[in-house]
Parts: sequence; C-alpha cells; structure tokens
Amino acid sequence: MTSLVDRSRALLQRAIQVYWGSPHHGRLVAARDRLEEPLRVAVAGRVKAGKSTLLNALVGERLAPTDTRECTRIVTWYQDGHTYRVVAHTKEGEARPLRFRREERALEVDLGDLRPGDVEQMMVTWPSQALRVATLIDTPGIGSLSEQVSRRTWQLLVPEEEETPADAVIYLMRHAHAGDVEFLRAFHDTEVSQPNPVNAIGVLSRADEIAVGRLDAMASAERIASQLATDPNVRRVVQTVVPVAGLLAETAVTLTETDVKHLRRVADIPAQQADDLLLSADRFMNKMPELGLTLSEREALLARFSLFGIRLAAALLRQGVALTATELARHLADHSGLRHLKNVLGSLFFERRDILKSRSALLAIDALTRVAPRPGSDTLATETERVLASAHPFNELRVLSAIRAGWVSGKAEVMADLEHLIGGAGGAMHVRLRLDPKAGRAELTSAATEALARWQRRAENPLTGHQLAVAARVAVRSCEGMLAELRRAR
Amino acid sequence: MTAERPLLAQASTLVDLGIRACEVYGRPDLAARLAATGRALGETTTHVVVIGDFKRGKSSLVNALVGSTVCPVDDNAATAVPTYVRHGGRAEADLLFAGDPPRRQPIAIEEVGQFAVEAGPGGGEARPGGGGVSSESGDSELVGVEIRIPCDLLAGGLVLVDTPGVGGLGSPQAAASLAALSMADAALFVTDAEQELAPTELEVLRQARELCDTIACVLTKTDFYPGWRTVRAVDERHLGGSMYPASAPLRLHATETRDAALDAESGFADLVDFLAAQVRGAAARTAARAAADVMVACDLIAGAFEAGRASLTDPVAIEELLDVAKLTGELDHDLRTRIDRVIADLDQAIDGGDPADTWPQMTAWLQSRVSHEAIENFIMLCRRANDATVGTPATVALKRAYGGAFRIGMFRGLAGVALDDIDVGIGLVLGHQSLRAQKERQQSQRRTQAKQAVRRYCDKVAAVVGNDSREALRRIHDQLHVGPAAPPAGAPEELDAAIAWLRGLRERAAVVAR
Repeated sequence: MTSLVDRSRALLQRAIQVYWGSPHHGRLVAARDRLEEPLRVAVAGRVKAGKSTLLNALVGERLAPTDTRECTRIVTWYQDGHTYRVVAHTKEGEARPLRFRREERALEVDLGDLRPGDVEQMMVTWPSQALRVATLIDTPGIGSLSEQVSRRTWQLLVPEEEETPADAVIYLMRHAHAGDVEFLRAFHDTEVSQPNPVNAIGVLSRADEIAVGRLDAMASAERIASQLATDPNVRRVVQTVVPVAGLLAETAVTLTETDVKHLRRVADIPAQQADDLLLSADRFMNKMPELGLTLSEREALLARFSLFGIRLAAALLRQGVALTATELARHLADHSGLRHLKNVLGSLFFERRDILKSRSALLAIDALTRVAPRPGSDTLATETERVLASAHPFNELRVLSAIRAGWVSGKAEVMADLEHLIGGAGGAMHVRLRLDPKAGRAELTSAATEALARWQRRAENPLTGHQLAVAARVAVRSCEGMLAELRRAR
Repeated sequence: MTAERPLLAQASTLVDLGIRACEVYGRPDLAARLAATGRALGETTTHVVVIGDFKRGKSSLVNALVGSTVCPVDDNAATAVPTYVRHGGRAEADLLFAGDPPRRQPIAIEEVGQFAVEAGPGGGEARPGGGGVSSESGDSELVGVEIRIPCDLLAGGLVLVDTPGVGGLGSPQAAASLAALSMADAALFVTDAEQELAPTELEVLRQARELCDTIACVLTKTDFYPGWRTVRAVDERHLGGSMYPASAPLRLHATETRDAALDAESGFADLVDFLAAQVRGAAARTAARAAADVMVACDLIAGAFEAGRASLTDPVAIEELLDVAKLTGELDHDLRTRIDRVIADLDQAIDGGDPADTWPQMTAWLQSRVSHEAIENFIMLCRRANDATVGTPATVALKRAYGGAFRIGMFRGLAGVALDDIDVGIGLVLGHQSLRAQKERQQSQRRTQAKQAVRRYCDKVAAVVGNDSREALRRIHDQLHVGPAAPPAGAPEELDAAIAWLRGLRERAAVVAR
C-alpha cells in the first residue's frame, strides 16, 4: 500500500497538470514543494502572550525580538538554511533582502525604506538544528489596541478561501481569555471535520506570572493547565495544555557564564537577606550596594530571569542543587516546562508530520477545485475527497475531533481507551496501548489483540450507539494496523 | 474628620426641627420619613466598589487594604459573588441570600473561600461554591458574602465591595457589578502592571464612569514587573489621569513585620488617603441629603399652607419631572433596539459558520453582548433620572433611591437566563462521496435551531432587564413621591408665621444641602 504522503504527492502532481498555465499553477507547485519541507508550526496567541520568547526558547537562540511594548508587527518565518539571510516579501510581491545585525537581545533587522505596513511577511533563514525539524512562524498578536496588527495575524491563520500556511499551531493562552478559544476555533479549517484539535496544542504561557512569581508558581500553573485541558471548550480546539514559563525557558537555553556569575552574588548572601532583596523588582534594583552588581547588570538579570527566575536560580545555587552553568541551565529548562513542551510537540506534531502535511496539501487541492473549476478538476476533486474521507490516519483524526467535540460519548474509561488507541496521546504503539515504553513485542501483541477483540465486540454490539459504533470500527482498524506492523517486525 | 462633624451635627439638628414641624403641622408620614433620615445620619457608610478584569488582583488589593487575608485569593479561582468587607467588633461572616432584606446565614470566616469563589475555566464542578449555591434551609440564591472585621481603615463606615471580574468569566455577573456602581460612593478600578490596558478594560471603564463620578484607577503587581513605570505612563495616557500604583504583597508583608519603609514602598499610603477622603465626602453628602429631605418637607407643608396659589414646590411638580410611564416606554424601546441589533449580528455569525462548533463560543459572545447592552440601557435610565431632577432637592435623593439599602441587585437575574442547547444532527460522518452533502444538510438544520435559541434567550433577557428597570424606576419614584398636602388650618396670621418659620428652616437646610 502506498503511503499517505505518496498519494498526496501523486494527487498534487495531477493537480499541477490540470491547472497548467493557470494563475493557480504556482500555488500548487509550492504546495508540492511544501510536502518535502519541514513541518510548519505557527506560534499564535494574544498580544504579549510571550510568542517571541517561546519561539526563541524552541530555537535555542534569541532571534525574535521581544519587548514590553508591542513589537512583533510583521509575520516572520524562521526556517533552516545554509546561510544567514533575511528577506522581506512586500505587499507588491517583491522579495527584498534586508540588512541585519545580531544583537544580544534579538536579531536587529533594518527595514531600509520599507514601512512595517508595506511588508507582507519576513523570511529569516538561519542555520539551526531546531529549525530543521520545524519551520516556525511568529505571528502578531490578536486583541491589541492597534487593530491592524491583529487583522494581519487573522489573515495568516484564517485566510478566506485558502489552505492555511501552517500545518500545526502552538497556541499561547493566558489563563482565561474569552477571545482565545474563539480565535483558535477560527484557525481550524474546513474539510477534515471541524472543529479540529488535531493540529493545535495549547501552551499556558508566562506560567510563572499566574502566581505572580511565587516559588511554587509552576506547580500552581500545572494544576491550572491540567484543569484547562479537561475543559470541554478547550478540548474542542487543542489536544492538550502545557504550562511554560517562557522567559525562564528562553534564558535557560541561552544561559551564559556571566549570568551564573551574577546569580552567585545573590546566592551567596544569607537566605533571609536574599528574600528581603527579592521582595520587589524595585528593591532588587536599588538595595544592597554591597552586592557588587551594577545597575545595568541588575536590570539585565531582571529582564532575563524575572524575579521568579532569580529567586529560583539563587535557591538552586545556594542549596547546591546545581553547581555548574550547564546543570543550572538544565534545571531551569526542566522547571520552565520547556522539556515537557518539547516532548509533547514530538509525540503530537512531529510523529504525525506526514499526516499533517498531507492534510495541508489535500486541503489546498480541495479548496482550489471548488473556487476555480477547470476541465479535469471534477475528477481531481472526487479523488481528493476520497482520500480525505477514507485514509485511515484521517479517520483517526476525525474520530479524535469528534470525541473532543463531545459528539462521541461513553464511559470515561472507554473514551480514554478509544482516544489512546487511535493515537490521541501520541502515535507510538506503547502509547496507544498504554504500556510502558520498554514493553516487548509479545506484550504489545497481546495487548493489541485484546484491544482488537474488545473494540470488535463494541462495533458489532447492536446496543452500541451509532456514533460510538462508527468510532469503534476506526479503533478496530487501528488495532489491525498495529498487529500488522508487529508481524512485519518479526 | 473634625471639620465634617459639625456638618453632620447641623444636619441632625435640622432633621429634629423638621420632625417637630411635621408633627405639629399634622404630617406624621413626613415625620416618619425624616426620622429614617435621622437614623441614617447616625450610621454613615461609604461604599467603595472594587471592579476590574478577571485576575487583576482585586481580592488581594482588598486584603492588603484591610491588612488581613479575608477575601479568598486563589491562582485559578475567581470571586463569584460580591463580598462586602466592613468594620465589626470581631471577625465574622454572613452569607447573604436573595430577599428584601437579604436573608443572612452566619458562617465561620475561614469558610468564606468555599462560597465566595468559583473555579476558573476547566475547574469543573468540584467546588461547592459558585453562582448557584443554595442555603441549607431553602433554595434561595446566594447573592453575596458579608465580612466584618475590626479594622481602623473601615471604622469610619467604609465598606469595600469586592466583585466578580468584569471581563473573562461570566459577563452577566459583570453587568450586575457595573450596575451596582450607580449606588456606590466611589469605585476602585483595578488593572495590573503586566501590560497596558486592554480595549475591553477601557470600555468597561467608560461605562463605569457613566455610572459613578468618583473612580480611582489602581495599578497592581508593581513589585513583580520591573517595567511597571512604563506601563503606568502608557495607561495614564489612555486614561487621561493619574493612577495609584500598589503592591499588595509588599503591603501585607509590611503589615506583618511592621516595616514602615516597606509600607511606603507598597504605595498604599496614597490609596488609603483617597479612601479616607471618600469617607469624609460621604459624611458631607449624607448631611446634604438629610438637609435636602428637610427642605422637601418644608416645601410640602408650606405649599399646602399657601392655599390657592400654584406652587413650584408642589409635589405634583416632582412627579412631572419624572414621568415614569413615558420613561419606561423609552427604556423599553431602547432595549428592544439594542437587542434586535444583537440578534441581527448573531444571525449573521450563525450563517457564517457552523453552530456545531461555534455554539459554545457564541454563547459566551451572546452573553457578553447582551450584558453590555443591558448596562448601556441602565446608563440611559440613570442619565434620564438625573437630567429630570437636576438642580432640585430630588437630585441628592436620587442616588439613594437607586438602591435604598446598598446591595448588588440590579441584573442579578441575568446570570440565571440559560441559552438552549442545539443538538440536531451533530454526528460523526465517515464515508465516501456523500460526505459534503450530508454535512451541509445537517448544518442548515443547526443554523435554524441556533437562530431560534438566540431569539428565545434574548426575549428572556429583555424581560429580566425590563423588570429590573421598572423596579429601579419604581424605587426612585417612591423616594420622590409624597402624599397629597394636608388641608390648611388655623388663623391667617398663624399661617403666615408658620410659613415664615418653615421658610427659615428651609434656608438653613439649603445652606447645609448646598
């Protein structure tokens, strides 16, 4: 059987022939090329939700500009490449290389005589291991006082009649904002069932600030995130919610020896005095001249760590939990939630990248055949719909969405079983079967066989509701797929 | 404080004289009214309502002001019902249940958290508290929590009212909080130093300013955000006025450790001064209101004595000022126009998407839109009532009239109006060619259902708002309305002397009423 990506590629090839010489030709070629490129992940959210900071943490470098005032006004793509390059794509369709400098805090880009309003999007090419796995898209926030910036994000993520440029979204939510869920819903597109939590995860960003920087802030944030992840309205639009203290994450992956040297000054004073000093940002700036830190050094520490980070790092150093810069960086990254986020991204996005990319490609054809019919486009549309409607990975996604939307319901344990089997918590076999990662083939085989029997019974039981019976048949297919894979591996 | 004492004392003397006049001239009804006025003089209260968006630190601010953790603070839960914090000999708390006057049920002060907060989104149903909690004995609705603690700041009659957040969570509650401002002496609008004011916050503030003349804006969490000065500068530009920066943790820490320097850093001193000024102002206002009541009584009696002459101070004149039937009609029309606009917008939104997935969001949107319109309608009521009576003694009486006893009652019923579920044909469609056609058929059914549900919801809301408006108008009317004048009696020269004496009393009262 040919893979989903192969079938999508073949369909795109046919579409290119059908639309040869039409204005849509270029778009289809781009869609085909996109199939071979890294997964595109957009970082979206409200103004100042910490998008650029999180992006930097994921890349491991300070590229995206961050600032207390609204600054990310241009949609910016960060992609891997051989050379360092920044290109502005103007509204007129011109691609113009820009001059840039690498500053300590961010990439300084010189727009030249362009105004931010003239630029459709900016493409930053940067040799980076992280960007080889995914191209990241930084978006202007929604809900800002300047509505124009918001509208631009909206157009990127919710174009009127096109496929979305992103394959997946990390959506930054700030605790509870009415606009958040609405926005996220609108991002989800058309055909593979709607709403669609399959290509989005939520990040409870700036998690340290929910408890206003208390040392137990992350524990509190984790509680809130897991509650959010079970909220029906949130479940409809994102797969899960992960708390991340973005600033701490960014600083952890860019930690310098100078940072550590300065933090030690704080760690070396007695705990009681340190607590007093760290009562407020103003205090940290102005008190204890004997600390031996200049005003600008203190300011830099606050900007890089926030009070929460300084409190935490000083405690880790003082208690000897972390002895070196490397150890401290690891502890801070763990504590910030960054490692957890990366694991989740791995199992929910990167493992599924072929499905997500194929989905984007097929949706592109589907949209085009509808708005621009041409000789031959109707059979193309039929073919595309057939793949969208019948390919097992899409059916898994569709059932997953339906469960998330509350359309398929049953006992909690049955639903959890179903969700795992169809890959809702990750595609790996042990995750689907809810076994230990070290589980051997025999164990996997017996668990899959049991699951198969269980779901076959449910699918055939006349008392099973119609929706659940449909979902059960998909689960049966998932089990058969796993058993086939286990046999092949023998 | 001393400067205001004589004012209250003067008012008290005037009221006593007024009561005697009413009794002598055969108006026991007016005497009873003045007696109530006299009692109010003895127990002057100043209600300061704390409003602001969800999670801006309103409860922490109240706690820091009174120097103890009386209002429940939780990272995820939010204040669910208004919490009234006032002075008392010892720490006590009551649950308040719907009723007039509200029914009280004492609880231990440590239990307040179970009732006054509701879990944040995703908090599930685990918490016993929340909007619809019932009392042990009956099924009446929890409408507030009153906390009494010994506290110097509150000793002068100050009552701090912590309210549910105006933004994020339930907007019907927010409408109730906003409506309550019309009865408050002052308000603290709370935002935090994390970022500049959001457009929604500015909109709430605009409405708040329509309903309450004295609003102080407080910038919280200044301890945590090093850039708070920048945020303050930007906010103050938006506001066109200055803010009070305040750090609740520093203030609480300073109170615990008796650290004066830290207390100064907390920024609370100015805020406390502001509140003290409100208490002083409230004393002056109470005195003025009492004096105005005396003036009305004098006018009524003198007017009756001046038989045969049409008098400007005839009670009928006051009735004409506020034509309740006409105003009710105007308000109803205004509300209907607003609601129709909401329905039109919703219809458009329903046609633009599939209710199967937009419905939960639309519910939230609909509630917030409708609450917004309810407040605008209420602003119109207040404006009309004020315009009608401006410059008359009735103006000062009006503020009191909105609420009688202060409590958040207006629009409380909004939260109870439910939007019907729609459930036709939402199903899992798997299969081949017919996928799209089937989906489209189901979708059009859902749209029809959704539109009907919106209309039913709006009708119910219009009924609640209409009822509350009529009730508010009735209260205002009752406050202004007095019975027909008693027939004049006695010899002409006695009458002239009586009228002259009443004129004298009226003039003295006018000085105090200013």
